[in-house]
Amino acid sequence: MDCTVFSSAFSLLVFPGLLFLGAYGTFAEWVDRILYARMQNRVGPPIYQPVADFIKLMAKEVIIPEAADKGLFRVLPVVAVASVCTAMLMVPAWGPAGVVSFQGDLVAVLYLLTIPTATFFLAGWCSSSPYATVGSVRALTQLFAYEVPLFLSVVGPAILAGSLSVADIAAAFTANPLFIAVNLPGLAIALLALQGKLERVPFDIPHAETEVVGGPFTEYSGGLLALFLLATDMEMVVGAALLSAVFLGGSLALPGALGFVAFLAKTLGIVFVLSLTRALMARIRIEQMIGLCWKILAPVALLQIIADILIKKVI
Amino acid sequence: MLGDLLAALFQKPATVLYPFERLPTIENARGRIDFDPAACVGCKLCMRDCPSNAIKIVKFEGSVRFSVRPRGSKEAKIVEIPVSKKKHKALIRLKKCIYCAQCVENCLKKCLKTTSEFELASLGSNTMPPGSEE
Repeated sequence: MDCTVFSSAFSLLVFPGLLFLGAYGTFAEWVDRILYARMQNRVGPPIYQPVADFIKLMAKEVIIPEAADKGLFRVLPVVAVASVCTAMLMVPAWGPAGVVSFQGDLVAVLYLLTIPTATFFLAGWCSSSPYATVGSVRALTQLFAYEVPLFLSVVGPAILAGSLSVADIAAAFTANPLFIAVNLPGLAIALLALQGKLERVPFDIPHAETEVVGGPFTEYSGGLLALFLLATDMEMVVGAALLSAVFLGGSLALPGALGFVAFLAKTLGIVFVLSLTRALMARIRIEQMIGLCWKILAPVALLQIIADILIKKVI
Repeated sequence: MLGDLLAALFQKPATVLYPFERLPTIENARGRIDFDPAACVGCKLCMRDCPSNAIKIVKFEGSVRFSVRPRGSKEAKIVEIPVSKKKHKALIRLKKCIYCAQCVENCLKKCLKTTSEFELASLGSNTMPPGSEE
């Protein structure tokens, strides 16, 4: 009994939970920033910069607007971090399966990863600031655009593996590497949708600095803002880990540390693609994004599902 | 565009890490004004022409004390130069000078010169460049 409590606490708080995710998230943010800088011929930040930013924000005063809902305002960043940490429990990091693995955990992860966006919306909405309100409405509008292609794109691998468990899908893709090649269009769609989920260029419409200042985070400061930014970093890692498990065979059934190295390599590879997308593109307008997601990405994802069903019939 | 980005990944960044790395100063840069007391005849044309009243030519006798900061060193030392024949020195107020170099243009005896020295910030009056006044 004690042992179970201890191991649960370890998974939640240390690995692959809060501590590991926080450390790896800030590292991934540094990788993203340095790659972005180098692609723009700049030097980029030193490796400790994201941690220094976090500590600096934690040390600063938290100012809550008078008209804001104070309790909600304080609790939302914590909810965002908690939901991302919970999602990580179901994504394989060490070994072939996540800490918690069950039939349908793929859906659970996707829904848990939707919660941060919902908290962003609520954060902006309860700040009672015009910029934050506009930003949060944009965040919610964007949610309904990118979630569709993201959910559709992971259906294909699930059909091929005949399972809704992330671990089973990774195992099926490892056993049959041809699946990885077949699902490359799906991976591309999922990467674009992930970019939208993380609200990064070209989908950084909710916090377009030139239009809505900081978007939903306009009124946030100090430790609360630090937690939101940390949640975004963690979400990037969890999203990358999820795509690596669903589309690229996860740890490729390698034992122990080797599998973990594969996990690190694949997530960093996905972070590289995300940075490249960020450096390559400029922000699009909200209706262009919705058009892109509903008219192009979603139909292509549907075609991918049809192709996967046909392949499943043949094999 | 994609090619440019990927190529930039393997190139040296364009950033110059300023205090540690320096670009060469351009020729004819209008930096600190240098004064040669030996050539000055005290016509004070520079004083009349200065748009910001930054330069002052004063008479003196005996010797002149200069605070001299050798290039590259932070420490300035006071140098006393005995002057027997020439009786003028230029006091340039760095906080007023706009570095337009009108005085240099107008000097009949070419005793004022522009230098490429541009880092003129200092912590106190004793570390200021030679010939300058607050």
